[in-house]
Amino acid sequence: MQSGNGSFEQRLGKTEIILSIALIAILSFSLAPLVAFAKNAIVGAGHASLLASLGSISVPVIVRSLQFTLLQAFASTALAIGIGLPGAWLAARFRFPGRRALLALAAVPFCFPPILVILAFILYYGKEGYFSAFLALVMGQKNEYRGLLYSFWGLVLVHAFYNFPIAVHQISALWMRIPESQKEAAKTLGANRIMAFRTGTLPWLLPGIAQAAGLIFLYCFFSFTTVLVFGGRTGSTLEVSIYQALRYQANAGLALLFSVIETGFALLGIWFITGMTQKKQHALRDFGRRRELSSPKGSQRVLLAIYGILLLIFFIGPLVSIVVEAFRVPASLGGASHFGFGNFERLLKGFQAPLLKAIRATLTLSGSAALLATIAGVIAGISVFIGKKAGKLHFTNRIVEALQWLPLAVSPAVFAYGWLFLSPDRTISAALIAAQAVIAWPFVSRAVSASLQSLDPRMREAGRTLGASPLRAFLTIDLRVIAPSVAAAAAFAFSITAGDVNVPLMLGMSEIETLPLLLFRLTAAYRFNEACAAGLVLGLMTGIVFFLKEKAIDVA
Amino acid sequence: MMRRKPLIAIFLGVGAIFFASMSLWGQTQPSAGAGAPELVVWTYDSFVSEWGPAAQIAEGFQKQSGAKVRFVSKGDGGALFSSLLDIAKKPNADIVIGLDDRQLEKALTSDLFAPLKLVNLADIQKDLLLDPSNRLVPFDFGQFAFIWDSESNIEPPRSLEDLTKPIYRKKVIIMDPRTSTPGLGFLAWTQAVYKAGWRDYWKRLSPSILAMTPSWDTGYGLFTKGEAPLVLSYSTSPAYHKAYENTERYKALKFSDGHPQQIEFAGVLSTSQNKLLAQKFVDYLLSQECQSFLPETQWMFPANRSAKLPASFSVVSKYPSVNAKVQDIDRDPSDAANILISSH
Repeated sequence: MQSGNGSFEQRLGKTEIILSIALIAILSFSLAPLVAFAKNAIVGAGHASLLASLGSISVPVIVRSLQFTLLQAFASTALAIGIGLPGAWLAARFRFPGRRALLALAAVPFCFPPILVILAFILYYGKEGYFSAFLALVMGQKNEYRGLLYSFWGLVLVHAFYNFPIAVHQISALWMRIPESQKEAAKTLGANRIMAFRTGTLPWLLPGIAQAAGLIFLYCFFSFTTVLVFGGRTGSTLEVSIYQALRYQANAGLALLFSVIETGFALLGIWFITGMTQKKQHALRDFGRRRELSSPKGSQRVLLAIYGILLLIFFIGPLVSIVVEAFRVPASLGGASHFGFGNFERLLKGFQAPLLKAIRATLTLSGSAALLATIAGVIAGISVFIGKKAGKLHFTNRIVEALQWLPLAVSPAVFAYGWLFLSPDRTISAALIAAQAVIAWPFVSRAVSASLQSLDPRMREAGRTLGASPLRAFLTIDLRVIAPSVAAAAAFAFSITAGDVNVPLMLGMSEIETLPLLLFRLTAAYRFNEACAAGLVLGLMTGIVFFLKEKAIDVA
Repeated sequence: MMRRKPLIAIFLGVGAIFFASMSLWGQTQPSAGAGAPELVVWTYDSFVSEWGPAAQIAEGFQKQSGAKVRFVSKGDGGALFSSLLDIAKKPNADIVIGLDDRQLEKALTSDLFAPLKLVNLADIQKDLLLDPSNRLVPFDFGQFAFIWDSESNIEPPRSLEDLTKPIYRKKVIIMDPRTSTPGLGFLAWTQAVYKAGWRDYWKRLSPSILAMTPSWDTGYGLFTKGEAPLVLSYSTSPAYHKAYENTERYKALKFSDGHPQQIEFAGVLSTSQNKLLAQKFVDYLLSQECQSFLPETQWMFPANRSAKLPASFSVVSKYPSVNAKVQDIDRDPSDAANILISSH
């Protein structure tokens, strides 16, 4: 027994060495761009360095940007939770048609890039939009239009609608596990319904709400495209300020300053989320299996119907309008239009035929990035798992675990420019692939280590007692079990990279135009119908995760 | 052994995707030196849009020289200029189209452009030739003006000062001076009229601005969709609506302050590997043939005196001009944008 154990550990030692080498590679792959960016920003390479540009930095501008970033993120999060909570309650309590669809909506923010959703909102809530037309029809006359979409609250509305499905999904999963018994006990003790909820349910639910809120907050905190398109003059998030500094002020020092502030606050957010996740896990440990769903009765049905209709009008409506507009062909800027395939035709056969090129560029660039991310993510995920299993977290393991938070802590601009400084001949496409891979691998890694942890350890033991080496046992048992989630994670990585417009925009890339970049250009140029046609293609590409057995939401 | 099959299949699949993407990746790389030479032109959005002149120019030049031209849009003129001065990357284009007279001085001190010898320069209107070294040559020009929707039930403003009146609250669309040349032109306009008091004017103007868009396309698109009744554009813009929609609903307003001129320039980058061909292209851009279709694609006046104006330009009037330069092109655009952002 003793000797057998020893040889196992020896062999594990060998595996560990191989893994460590791979981990160091991933580590340097992820951190090198940060160092390169910082170095170039501080020393300066043929441009204003940090020291030289210190004089031109205006503190009020930085403070205002930070204030605006925090304010819009708080407001957006509050609204997203507000919209999501009723949905979470309904999905946790009742059985109803469309329940699964409601939960699956959580994939929307991950599968459909912001630029697509922005387009949908303009088409729907804009002055000439379907919703506005509908309002005018109901109200009888056109009321004074106040340009809501381009105001602070417009921005908050877009953020909230983009992210609320995350709240529905996360909170309902927890709510389903909280037994009624607590609440019933409080009721028998004479508490009214609100009191019973406050003492019987809320304490267990709160960490879950806080965790979802933390996540949504971080997404909004880093918001870029939405603010760039709608923000205009309501304000500039730190992310947009970084972009302005890099692209329009040629001031890497200022960009560095902004991104350091951004990362500092993001780390606070991550610290909050991890704390809440632990609390939630504690709460979950107190309860057993999830409760059975019940059929809604009377007033509950009315509530369900109202929530469903509101979602259809406010959330599904904009998405549908993309499909409709993709087939509406305008004759001139303000003139008449007809339905047909004209927009697709224009993009496929018209001047410079951008669509096919964009599809190809997206497949190759994002495909390569997703592939890199998957390889790195699988290695990292396995190593984190092995480290946890062995009970002693290796130093590199710890770092890799921390690195999984990287895309939620560091501006994509830093990765993008960092890799641009590093890449030979400053090749934009190489920098793009590397930066997107750095942003995507942690998602793969987390999915892999989570699915390995859910694996029954007895299977592996059985394999080993039958004489298989740890590596072999791993290859034949573990890898086969995690294959579906690796596939889902890879597809998810592709979704993220294929829909990403931040990195190419930050890089000022336009020689090679990816689909989201084409979409951004068409949207910015106000060629909405062509944008919708391109958006439909992009949506079909990134939405592929929807069709996989293990959904992107489980990965995320 | 049976159990390993799915594993092998996964690895094979991943490998296949990898190699497929690598081979496709090779195709997306611009093929250098193979076949006919290709010129790369950096320009702004509306130049390459469906209604812009790029397609016609590419076709015309290919007929004349056999060379292919690839247009790359860099956003609006401000973004285009920023891309030229990128801190991490030198421009890899041959030709740049669309810098304007306010960017000229900074562009010439950057040493990015090569001097040109052009046949058609003789036909170009003399007052447009601002660069005696002929590194940046003018190809069209126009006047900035606010366009007003006459069906909006709102009284047309008569001056920059009028725009600050409460009746125009959230009724005006302008462009971002950091990213777009019309935006920069508007900044210069306010500096020409208000001198040192321009910051104060921007503060007073702030409530009237519905949107400060990154490019002219976006702003004009918002306007034609009816989001606001007033937009910063050109005195020539009504010609577009006359030609395409046969309407005179959209009017260019005459302001008592005078109207700044915009001259647009093209140049050949000194890093170009195809300088002679690129020079030929710019010569074509200034030729009578090319210049005669610029008015109805660029909606600007042609720089070539021999080019005739189309019928749609009958709705265009010339307004008294005002000389407008940006006081500090490195600082003021950001300052101006920040005034609008913070006073919201």
